[in-house]
Amino acid sequence: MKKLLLILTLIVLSTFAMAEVVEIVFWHSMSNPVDKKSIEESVAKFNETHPNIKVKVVLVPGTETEVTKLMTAVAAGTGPDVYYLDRFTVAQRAHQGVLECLEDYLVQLGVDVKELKSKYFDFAIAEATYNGKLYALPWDTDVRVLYYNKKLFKKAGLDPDKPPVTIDELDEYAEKLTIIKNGRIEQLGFVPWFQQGWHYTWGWAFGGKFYDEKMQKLCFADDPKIIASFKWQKKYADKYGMKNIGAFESAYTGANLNPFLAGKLAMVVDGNWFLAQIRTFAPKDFEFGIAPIPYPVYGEAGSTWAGGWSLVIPKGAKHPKEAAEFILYMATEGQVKYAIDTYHLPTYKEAIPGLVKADPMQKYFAELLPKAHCRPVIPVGALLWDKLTEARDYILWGKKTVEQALRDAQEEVQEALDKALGKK
Amino acid sequence: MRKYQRRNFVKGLLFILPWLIGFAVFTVYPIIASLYFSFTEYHVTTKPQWIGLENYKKLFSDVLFVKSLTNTLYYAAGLVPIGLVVGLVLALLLVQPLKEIIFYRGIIYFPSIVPAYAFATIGIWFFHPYLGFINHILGFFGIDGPMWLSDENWAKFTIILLSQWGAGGTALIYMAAIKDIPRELYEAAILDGATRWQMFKKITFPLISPATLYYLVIATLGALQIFDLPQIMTEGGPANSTLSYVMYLYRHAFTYANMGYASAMAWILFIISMFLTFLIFRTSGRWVFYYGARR
Repeated sequence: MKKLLLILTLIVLSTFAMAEVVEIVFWHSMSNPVDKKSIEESVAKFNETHPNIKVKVVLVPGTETEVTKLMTAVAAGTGPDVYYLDRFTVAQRAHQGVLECLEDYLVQLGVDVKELKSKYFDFAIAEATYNGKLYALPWDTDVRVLYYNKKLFKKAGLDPDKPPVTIDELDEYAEKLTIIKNGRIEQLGFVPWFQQGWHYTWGWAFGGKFYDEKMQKLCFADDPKIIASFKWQKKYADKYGMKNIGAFESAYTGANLNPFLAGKLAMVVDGNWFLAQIRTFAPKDFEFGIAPIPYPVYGEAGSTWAGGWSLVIPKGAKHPKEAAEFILYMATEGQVKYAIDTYHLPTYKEAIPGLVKADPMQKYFAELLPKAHCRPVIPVGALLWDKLTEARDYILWGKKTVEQALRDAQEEVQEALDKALGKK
Repeated sequence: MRKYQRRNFVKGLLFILPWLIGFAVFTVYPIIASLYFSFTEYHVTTKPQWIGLENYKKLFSDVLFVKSLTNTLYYAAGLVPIGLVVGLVLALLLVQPLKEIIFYRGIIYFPSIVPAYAFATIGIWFFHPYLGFINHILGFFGIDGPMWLSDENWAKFTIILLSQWGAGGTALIYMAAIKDIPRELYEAAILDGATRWQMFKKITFPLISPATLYYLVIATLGALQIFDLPQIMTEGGPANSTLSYVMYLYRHAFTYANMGYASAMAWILFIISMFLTFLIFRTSGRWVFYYGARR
């Protein structure tokens, strides 16, 4: 009997002891093995140094503007405590009421928010802010550049040390690097919209402007430079045919194949993170170069734009205070480690030296950062992205003229923006 | 109602109570709630706001809504008749008096248990314009095969063709119906010198019409809700040519968190489904025969 009592007491005591440890759930979507490992190691270290908190990592696949699982989970009250959100959508999700105000909890933890903000690049803080308050802490960032295959350059009789600088040169090289046999594309020189060749990439390279902050008006449909950037892209669709490009591309869907790494695409605009993938997955004798994004004479030389992720607390999180503590750790110490492990560009300034030391090639990207554009910080940022992408598809498939597609997108997003800003 | 009858009734109710609760909570309540949401602007995490018929009005000026609806009707117009022919032909083959017929039956049904995702992924390669099996075979006959999923004019048809992998289920139902037909009808027909085609037309087809009725209703409802194949294989592309109604509904509900708008879409689909089902049942009196029953 005594023994039984003892065991019972032990059980009761141990449950009490366990109850003191707060478990927080962290959802992220970095399924890439390199990124995943670094995050896991940081989490393990946090768990070790914070014995009162236990972080449980759950990998939840998703894309930039797709937050299906988060929305459903938050609505059902089963959401995580910490979520990995594309930073340019923070304002929109905060406006939709999906996020807790992180700043309030940071203040509770005794953090000097003003000082903390100064440790990050300004554009990253701007993206993480909604109504003057921090709703997220920035995680990594990125820039876009032109990658080109030196071997294919040599084969086509081009100088492998002279990548295209202007749009005209790019067009000329693309022509020379394309091989079409019996109506089938065997090798593509360049297609503007592959990988990171987004509407923003070319809009800015052509010197265009998407949003007027002072007037709070979208202005891309009225900007002749942005119209020109889409007309230039359409030329590629007309030249090769969307069906043929689709057929070329479809050989690389499903599996984690990349036509550039396979040596079938000579030039591509991609992010700085692509460097790590080239090193891991490309054949040993792969020779490539990196160059600034080409631009027309009236455009912007060396333009690029920065995106990246952030850490947020979803609405209804069970332990928001502990979540804030974890986010603070990840966005500072975690980021320093992440930059070294994964070569992702940090938004946390102190992480830059470690990155450049670990990989001198990153200096090229880090130096682009201060000049990088960031997407309009508006409460309908995700919608704007989706509508621009939709407009691009209409244009490429010849369903609408450039002017019409952009006009329709601008009107629809402006209406939603006015509503969100309380103007209507 | 007498006392013992009432007591029995209460007992009966108690026995089906678990089901009743489940039905009310998980079926009736969501249906009614979605009707209410369809008249509101509702973004899941915020409170719904009443906006009357606004969602319904907006739908009919929404280009993608119209596109997805016409795409879905195209799917239905292809899937239902083609599925019927394929299923019926397979069933006729599967009732042949062969020794190893059981083996064939297994093989025909086998593809139906392959998960949609696996099948869709294989399908992409099967119909690949350059490297695919289909175009390779067509090449032997000197035919330059189409671009299938990469061509907006062929993409929907490709998905309809690929959907026939599930024809084993239909074949199974038809097979059972055919086996139910009394032998003596065929014996009498043979004595009268009927051809095989005449027997099929006058005996088999009329007597399996109850199975056809069942197939038409289920297949129509299924076609109207087509989702997984286009979602996995094309994500609605190229140029929205494979975007189905439910895919677009899903986008509004979960990607854009536009639950009010999505609910309105769901109700329109519900009404279309009800109407088509009603139509099929209404005409069924004219072409469905039950053996042994008076007309």
